Amino acid sequence: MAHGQGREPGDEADSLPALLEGASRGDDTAWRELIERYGRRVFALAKSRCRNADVADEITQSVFATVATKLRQGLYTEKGRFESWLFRVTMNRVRDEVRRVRRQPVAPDSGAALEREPDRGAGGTGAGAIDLGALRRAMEELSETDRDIVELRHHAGLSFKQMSDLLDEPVGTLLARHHRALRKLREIMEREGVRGEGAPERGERAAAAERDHG
Amino acid sequence: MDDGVAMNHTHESEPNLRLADDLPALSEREARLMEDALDRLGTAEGRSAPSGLTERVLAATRSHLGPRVAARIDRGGAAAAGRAWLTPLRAAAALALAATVGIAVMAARSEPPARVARAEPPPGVPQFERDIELWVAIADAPAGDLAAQLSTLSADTAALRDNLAANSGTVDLWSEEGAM
Repeated sequence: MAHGQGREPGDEADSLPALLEGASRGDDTAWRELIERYGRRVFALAKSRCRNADVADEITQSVFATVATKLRQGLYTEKGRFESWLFRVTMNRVRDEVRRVRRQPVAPDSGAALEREPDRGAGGTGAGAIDLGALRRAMEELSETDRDIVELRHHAGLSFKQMSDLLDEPVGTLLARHHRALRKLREIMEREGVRGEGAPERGERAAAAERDHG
Repeated sequence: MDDGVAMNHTHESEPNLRLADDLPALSEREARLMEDALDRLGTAEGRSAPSGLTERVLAATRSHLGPRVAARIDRGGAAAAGRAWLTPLRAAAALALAATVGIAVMAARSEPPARVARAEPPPGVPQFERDIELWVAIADAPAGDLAAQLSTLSADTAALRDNLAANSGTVDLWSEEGAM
């Protein structure tokens, strides 16, 4: 799974308390490890929403500055929920930036680098592969609520339990919303005339869904 | 785009959920493909960060961790002893004071100094260090607290208590005579 997302290996989860303890004591090595572990995920979430690498970089720095301050002052109290807390801080920064941009727009990146990402399908051969650029454009048409869930799940890499802690919503509700967001994305992409290779037509899809769900 | 779903992040109304149910169903295979693509999109977004992200974040946040970051680096493993609060200079002063107390008590009773530690000692800490901790705490206590501290001393250190009281609650750590 991409960037060890929330379903992180047991050893990473086990070492997190030690890293937080070390960072709170000013241990440079522990702090660096935390940044290396979570920096790109924070950046990915910020970049997905703000569409600008420089802005996402600044948000990432701001988020970790807040985390560092809270750790040093002993104000981090959400034991066992560090990732939920970290990405709550990130979401707040992102929303602040989105509000600011609405007043003073910042030019989004061209997305050329993202477009060049190799598009490998689940089978490694492109079968059923989905165009990432089209998917990103489709995400921009989602509501903020749906987009939050998708980005927290697939960009920040949080588990549904962590998202539940962050958003203060039941896991079941988030599962349902997540699935609905996937259906919306599919609908948007089909409307734009984009679908993966081998993806069935709507009628075939309905039949397949019936078979899957009995 | 507002597709009818409320923009409130904590609550969505029933009518909006029913509207969303008009969407075509998604097979398990399609759902997995979509999730896989979203994961790859997330990875791609993370990889799109300009190189040196960690170094930039470190540079921007090091000061937020406070001066202990640099100090800890300079001192290397010196803090590993677990007594970081007791600087070498302060430790020498405390040792001198404790030695003086011990001599005074032994001279008065020809017995080994009684233990004066009242607080529950940390496990595994030698008795000598516990005595040092108590005397350093007394020496550091504000003048107003000193009377309370002094009242807890055992009879074996009565001579020192009288001397400290005579000095209006101040103790000169640098002078053996002051401790007497």
